[in-house]
Amino acid sequence: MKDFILKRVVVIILPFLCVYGFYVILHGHVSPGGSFAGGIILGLSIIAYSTIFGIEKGKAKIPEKVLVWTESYGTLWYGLMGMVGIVKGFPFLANKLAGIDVGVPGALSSGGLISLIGIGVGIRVASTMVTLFFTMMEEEP
Amino acid sequence: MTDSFTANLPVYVIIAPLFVAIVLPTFARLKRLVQGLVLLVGVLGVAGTGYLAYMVLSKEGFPMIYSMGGWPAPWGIELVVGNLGAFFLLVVSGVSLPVALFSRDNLTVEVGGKERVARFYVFYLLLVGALSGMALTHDLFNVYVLVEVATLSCCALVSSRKHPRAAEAAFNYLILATLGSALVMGGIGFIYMITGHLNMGFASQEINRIWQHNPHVVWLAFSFMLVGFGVKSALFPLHIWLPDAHSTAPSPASAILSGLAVKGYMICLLKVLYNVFGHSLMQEFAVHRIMVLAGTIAILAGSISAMTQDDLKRRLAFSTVAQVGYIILGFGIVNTKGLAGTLFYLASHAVIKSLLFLSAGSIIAVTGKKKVSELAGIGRKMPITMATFTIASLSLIGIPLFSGFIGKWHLLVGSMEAGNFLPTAVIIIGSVLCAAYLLPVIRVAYFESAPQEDWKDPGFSQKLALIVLAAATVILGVVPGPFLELATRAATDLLMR
Amino acid sequence: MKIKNLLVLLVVLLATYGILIAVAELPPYGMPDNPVHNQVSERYINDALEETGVLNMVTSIVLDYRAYDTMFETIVLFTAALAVVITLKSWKKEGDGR
Repeated sequence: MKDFILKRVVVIILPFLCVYGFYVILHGHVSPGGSFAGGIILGLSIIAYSTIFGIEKGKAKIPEKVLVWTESYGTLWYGLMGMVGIVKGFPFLANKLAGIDVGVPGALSSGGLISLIGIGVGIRVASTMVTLFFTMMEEEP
Repeated sequence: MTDSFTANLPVYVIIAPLFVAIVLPTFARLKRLVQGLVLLVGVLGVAGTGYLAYMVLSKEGFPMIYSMGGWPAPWGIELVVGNLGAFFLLVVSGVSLPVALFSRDNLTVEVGGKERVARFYVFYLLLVGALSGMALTHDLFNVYVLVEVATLSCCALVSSRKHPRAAEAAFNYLILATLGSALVMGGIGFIYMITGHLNMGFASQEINRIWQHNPHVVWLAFSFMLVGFGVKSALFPLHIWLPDAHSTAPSPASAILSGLAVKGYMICLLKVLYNVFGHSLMQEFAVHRIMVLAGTIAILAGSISAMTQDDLKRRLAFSTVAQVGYIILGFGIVNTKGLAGTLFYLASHAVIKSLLFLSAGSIIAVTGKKKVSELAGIGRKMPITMATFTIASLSLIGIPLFSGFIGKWHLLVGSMEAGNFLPTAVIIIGSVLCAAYLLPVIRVAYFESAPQEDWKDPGFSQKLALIVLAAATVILGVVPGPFLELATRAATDLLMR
Repeated sequence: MKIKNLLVLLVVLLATYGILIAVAELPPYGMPDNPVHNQVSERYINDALEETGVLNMVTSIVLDYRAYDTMFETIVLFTAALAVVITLKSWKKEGDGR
């Protein structure tokens, strides 16, 4: 698309969208929202960029390789956080039981493994959204 | 250390394939590493599940209950490593390893380049992980999530073939399977609404206490579950996606789809029927009669459709429809003998059908012939492949000394004990029909003159996979001992509630 | 064709009738003595803050009490994304990197 207004508006709101996405992911355990919702907002910011500036530019910003890696290791991160429980001698995915400090409720550092898992899930949801968008848009003749 | 390893073994068995599947795309180009990892996971899976089954058989603190995250039952998610779980885990790992072995050299023809092969393995491992999860889970919502993982990876396995019809078949499958998932979800929702529990044990207690207050809701939950899992496991009128999907998929994928994926959904159905509703409630609502009837129709219709097919893989796919009928019919025979026979038949059909699809796949890969009528004389050109095909056919028909016979025999005895003569007759008629659609293939392959072409048996790893599976069906038929014992105990557990 | 359509309509109507009967029997929505308000939800509501240290109760259930399900949900997403890639890419790059 070659629309001047759209391009300007996207340039202005894009940083805010990104920051908001990260905010929702990081605050999933203290405020409404969560890693799934935040990941989608983050992915949408990239989708908005590539809709307005063209798929090629979007792909230049986020190469396919990065998407594959974030997708794979974002999901693996979840499993690794689950293994923390096993390593400490407790069941898979144990959190407070495994002696992890859950902190003061309401603080950003609270929740123990929950907040860490949330980051991984958020990033991997974002990269899934972008992958789906890129793959499906390439289909257009 | 050893103790904590054993305690966490059920989790390792489930997550090992999943984790390897997740990291595979990042080094998709290293073909050797990918194949090595897949085989390693398969071997470790067989070792782990074998050890679990051994522990379950020797009753050292089993059934073992594993609370995820340390949250006890109604709050967290439970895995139960009981007889049924260990049994199905053994089937999953035992069938998936030879299939992985077979696919080593077979895939490039049907799937494509390195990256596509790596993606094929990703879905293969995700499916194996999801099926292992189904074997052990004891939570209704967890069943749903696992069913979703399995369904999506099945679709991807079908569409991984480089063929326009494959994508079409996968799309049809996706639409119907999503409908099935929605119905399963609805059934779980209804059960949750009237019991307030997702854990199978608690939901079972609650539903048996209050079902008189909401009989229609229980009835609806029953029917949603039956239709939902019926679509997924290709019960007769709902099977329309199966012949296309299973015959257009790459051969190793057809083997694992027909052999294992369909069985996974049936194990879920079995768990929902017997562990959640319980057999007394089933008999109260006459669900077992419906299942016997549905199984009967499926056996007859599937076998007759299989006879009319000339395409070898389609014939095998329709045969799966008929065999699904046997298993569904067996679920409706509410006694220990019948259920144990059904479970054993499920396992032996997993082995046999993978073997049939793999040998059909290697015949197609070598000769390029897909029709039964074109296979003249292939038995002399490809002796090992055709010999394994013959063993599998005889086993599926139910000739003594093969595993299919043991399952059918127990099923027969069970149905006679239940005093229900419709299944007894149908099981025998089904065997005759099965002979009618499989023996012509063997006759054409051995007793017609061969064309002057240079066809040979496939490579070493494929031959090894075929021989391992053929040996498995013979061994299960000659010495069914521990396996049948596990199935009988699983059936006893199911009927205890 | 006409008769088939009529039959389909009949089946759909019957199914709708059955579902409506069952739905009418469900416990009314939001009543305090519903079966869903049992010890399970009680513990989630009362103890989640202390047991997980998380203010957002939904997150505490999704990522702690039932974290195993959520792991499989992320795997569902992973599978879906890759399935789309394997289905659609095959049409563009026939035989990539052989």
